[in-house]
Amino acid sequence: MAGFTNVIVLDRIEAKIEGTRGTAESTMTRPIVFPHGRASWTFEADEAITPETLRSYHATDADNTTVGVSISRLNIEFFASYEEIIWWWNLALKGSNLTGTTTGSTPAGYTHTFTPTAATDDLATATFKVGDGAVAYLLDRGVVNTMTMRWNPARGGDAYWMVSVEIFCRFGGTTTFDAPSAVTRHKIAAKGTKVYVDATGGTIGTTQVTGQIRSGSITITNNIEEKQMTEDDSVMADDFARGEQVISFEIVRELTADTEFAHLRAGTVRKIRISKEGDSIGSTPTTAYLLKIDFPVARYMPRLAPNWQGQNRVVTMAGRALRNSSNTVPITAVSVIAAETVTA
Amino acid sequence: MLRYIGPRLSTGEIERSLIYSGIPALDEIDDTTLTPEQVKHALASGLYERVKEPPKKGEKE
Repeated sequence: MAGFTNVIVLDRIEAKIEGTRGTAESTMTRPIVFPHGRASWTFEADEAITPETLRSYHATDADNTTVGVSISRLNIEFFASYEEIIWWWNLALKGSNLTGTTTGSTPAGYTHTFTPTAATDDLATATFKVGDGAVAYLLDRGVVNTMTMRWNPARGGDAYWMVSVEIFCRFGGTTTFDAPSAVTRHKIAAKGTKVYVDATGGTIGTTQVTGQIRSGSITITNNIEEKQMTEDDSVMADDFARGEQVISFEIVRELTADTEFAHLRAGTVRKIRISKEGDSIGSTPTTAYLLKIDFPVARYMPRLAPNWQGQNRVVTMAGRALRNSSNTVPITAVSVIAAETVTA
Repeated sequence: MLRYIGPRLSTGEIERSLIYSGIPALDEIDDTTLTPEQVKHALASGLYERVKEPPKKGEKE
């Protein structure tokens, strides 16, 4: 079967988390904000144009040519904000997690913590309306297959944390845009991001690495499998399967001593925290906007030797976050904001 | 005059706004600066209510 693919670059996206997974929402509640040109929708479908017995040298259109069940992918890259990252973590890490806990400060800050559920699939899905001023398309059951968060404050990098997501979704026809109100966003500056690396026996977040970290990224891969049941006529099934949730990271580091590289060679487990504090929210206790990502069981792999970039030994220390007997999940992600709830 | 009555951050900052509809994110908006459609949209969103303009000095209520 020959396939056809359309890629449409989008300039407007609206969304809402689905109350029932796989059931499209009708009215969108939030605009998705992204830099121009950084969002696209890919539509793919097989078309059954197969030459049959040689009545002609050319395939015929007459005998009930049919277009296969379509597959849609939504790719968006955007500047992260402390508020929006919570919405996205509901899709990528753990659903039904839109309410935070007060820090007790005045004015109040609210801690939104994401500890993925180990053995129950509770990822949220969202409906999206995408398009431009002229046309809107409905995409439902949007589930995040991969989410990459990266920081690179160097010249030529990005001023803010960037997030790229790949969403597996289903095309639901044309629609009309709603007029959701905009959400207050406090963007997460890339500069000032701190990385802590500790030994397994230590406490996470104790030893900050200074004078060595250049940039880095964190990727969540949910290994989503879409299902096509034989009765499905136009799009894949509303249900989907999840594979292993793979948490990986890359830290571009200048190795000023052999210590950490020796840990990499030996395959020693490390505890890694990446955090970025933003503006102040309140006092007693002192509370500020905060992004904090913990890997309690991190291993470097593949084990790459450093290369010499100019005068410095710079190496991309890639690795996987895992679990063990005392840490049931590989990642805990936290965002502190000044709102108790985040709009679905 | 329209007054913001929607949710706020704990810091008092406006949490949701209608800036994508060209309506500024302010506590109070002089509705003569908006089109009738924008006023309708602002009121329909539930984020704003209409309030009487405070009487100007020397003007009778």
